[in-house]
Amino acid sequence: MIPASTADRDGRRIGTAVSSAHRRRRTRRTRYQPREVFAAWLLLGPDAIGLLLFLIAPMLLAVAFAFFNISGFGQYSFAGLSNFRRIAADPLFWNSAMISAVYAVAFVVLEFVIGLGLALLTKDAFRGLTIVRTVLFTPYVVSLVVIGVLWKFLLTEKIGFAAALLRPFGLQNVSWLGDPRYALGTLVFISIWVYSGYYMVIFVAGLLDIPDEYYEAAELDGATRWQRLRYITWPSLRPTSFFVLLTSIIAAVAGPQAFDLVFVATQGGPANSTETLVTYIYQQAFQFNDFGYASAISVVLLIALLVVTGILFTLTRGGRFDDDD
Amino acid sequence: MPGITASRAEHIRNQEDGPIMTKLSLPFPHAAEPLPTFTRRQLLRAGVGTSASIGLATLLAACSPGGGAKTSHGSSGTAATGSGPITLWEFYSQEQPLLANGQWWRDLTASWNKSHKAKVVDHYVTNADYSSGTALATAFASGTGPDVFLVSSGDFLKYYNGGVLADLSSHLTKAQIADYAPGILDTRTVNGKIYGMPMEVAPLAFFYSKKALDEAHLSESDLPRTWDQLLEIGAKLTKPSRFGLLFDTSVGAYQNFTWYPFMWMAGGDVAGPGGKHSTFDSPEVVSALQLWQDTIAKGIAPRKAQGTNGSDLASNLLSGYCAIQQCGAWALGQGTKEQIAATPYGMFTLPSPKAGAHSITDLGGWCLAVNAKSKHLDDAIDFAIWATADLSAAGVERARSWAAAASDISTRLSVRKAASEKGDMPAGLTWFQNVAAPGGKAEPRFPPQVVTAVSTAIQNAQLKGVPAKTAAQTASQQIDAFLSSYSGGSIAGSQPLSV
Repeated sequence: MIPASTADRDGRRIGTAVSSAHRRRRTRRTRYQPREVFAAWLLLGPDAIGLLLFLIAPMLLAVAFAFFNISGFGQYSFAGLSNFRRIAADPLFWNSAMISAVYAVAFVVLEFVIGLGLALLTKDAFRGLTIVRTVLFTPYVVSLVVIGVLWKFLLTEKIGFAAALLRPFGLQNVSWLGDPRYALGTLVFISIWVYSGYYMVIFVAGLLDIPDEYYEAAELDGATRWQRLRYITWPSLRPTSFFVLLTSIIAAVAGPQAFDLVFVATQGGPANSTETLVTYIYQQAFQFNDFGYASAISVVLLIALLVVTGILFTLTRGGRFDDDD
Repeated sequence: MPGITASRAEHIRNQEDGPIMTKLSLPFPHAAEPLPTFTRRQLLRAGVGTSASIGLATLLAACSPGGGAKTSHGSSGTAATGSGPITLWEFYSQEQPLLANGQWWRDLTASWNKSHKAKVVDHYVTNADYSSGTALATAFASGTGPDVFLVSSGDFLKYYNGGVLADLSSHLTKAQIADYAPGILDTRTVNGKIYGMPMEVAPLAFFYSKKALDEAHLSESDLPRTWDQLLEIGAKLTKPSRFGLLFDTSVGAYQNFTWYPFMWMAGGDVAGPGGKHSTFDSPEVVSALQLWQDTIAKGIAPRKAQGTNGSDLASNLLSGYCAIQQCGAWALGQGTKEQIAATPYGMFTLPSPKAGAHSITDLGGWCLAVNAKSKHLDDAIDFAIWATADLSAAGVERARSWAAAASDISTRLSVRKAASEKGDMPAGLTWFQNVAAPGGKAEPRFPPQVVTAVSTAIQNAQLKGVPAKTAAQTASQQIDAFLSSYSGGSIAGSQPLSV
């Protein structure tokens, strides 16, 4: 039990906040009936087993593999830290890391702004709202492989739809997926097209969670539209924003969009300009049969993601921001 | 789940035996009605039912042959157990449309199974998955690799160094070995032992659209014989809706395969004799890289091929996307009759750097290999040799029908003679055999790391605009660094083949 007078290293009193949080946790603790516990195990069990078999076990195996040289043909030898030392000196790894970072930053920032913008536009009911939301959400339910193929056709040099559309601007000969200067930007564009509808839905849910009374009170106080957005919507959306940031960062670095879309649309080319970390891991594992090195890169990627999410959690207190939320 | 945020899900739990209710606030106003409620008993019943269904499905899948893995012929794609059939993996026999080369594999296994006790099960893998996907890698990594499978020259050392290629030498007779054209078996031989049965020779050449040539008021005598002429004619054939020329642009072993002839014609090579050190930073290599860069810089070649890649004639030349395309003999079998009628095409040999020099092509092709860890090793080797090197009349006909179905040149002398006597060899294939292939070199075999270094150099020069000299030097350093500690199967550089 932390005494109420406990102070932190800077001398600030923290006892009150901690003890009130502790009280809340204690009041939430409830005794469950055995049948309820059984039901919980029954319902959560299949998911837990699935996670254990297909996520946690492979993840632990990958960590173990990172310390071995594995040929992929049954030959193993202990490698110690050599795979990690190799990473440090591998220019293609650093190239992939940079591409993943640029892609993630561009994607997360743009889809956040666009997703939120679309949510603000489609929050309130208007004629045709369902159609608009459906149209915006539809790309998200289409397979990324199909989307990759579709955009390859649309963006074909000289004869594609984009070439016809951009001909008046003299851009018909631009190879959006074949030119290293544009390929990564094009993938960001396609990703935003796919995911903006999904994040719009998440933001709409967050917006609808804000009580109307806040806005009514603000209107009575003469708050402008911008002030309502700045002082009511934005702070109230912080948990939703946290969720969007967290999931979109992970998706951009290690999700299907970082592999499926890239693999189908560019295969990491041209000239490695879209080689993300996950496509590089794939190349090492399945083209070079260097499973140990691929696992070591996966571990580095995992640690990087843990650090980023850890920082996010720390800065936002686990997405709660403060006790008033 | 899209549309429902966790923060909006409020669980209202009855302390006693009342119903467990979940109140969900949905983002769409019209969908905000409360969800149906369920009693705990109903939930329990549903949970038990679902778990039982999943468990039963898993059990059934596990008990079925191959654990539920579907193949084109409805059988397991995993390696056979000691008592099971011999598994064969190939990438031709797709269901729709089943082409002649796919039918050949089906006939092959049917014919073998009819006359042999050890049965073969044919497993189709898509070409993309076979060439650059995970199918083979995961199968071998999990110890369930196929008993018999196809290997390209580019991948030969990967499998040899992995110790999964069986030595076939002792099962081959001298007569069978002698039936192969000189040099053909060398690319699959390490330390005097043969590890793969070459199935075909696939030379590269340029295909051109006769219509495009006519439109540009050019005749066959104008077809390029030098690199300068290639760039010049390519520019003349380029128009707003079509490229004049197409080289492959996809990263990987296939692009390297198509680029090697230009390097050889300039007098360069990837590695020195014995494959001990790099020779990639030579002026000859730089000039070949420069040629490919020029085609992009001048706007006469696309940065991205249509369809599969540059090996796809139907999606590129026949669709009107380009007027000249570098491709292999296999392309003779591509395209519908309508497409070929609409875009009649011809072929010409790869131009050389200077007038009067000989054209050199790359002679690629796949071989049939046997998994050294197969539980049916002897039967699998017997099958692979029966399928490719059988000297009987039926065996020669089998190999001849494969060359015809695959639109490639046979690797065996007796088969070429039989094809010639039969007189049904397509005119295009005869041209490839008599004009394009002579003087060609076997596709070199390199470890994946060397393939990647070369590939990166080609990509950087061709598509990124990196100076050809810089691209070559960087790759050369990478190759040297790798070769200094390489201890696998011998690297076979450019070797002339007798075709």
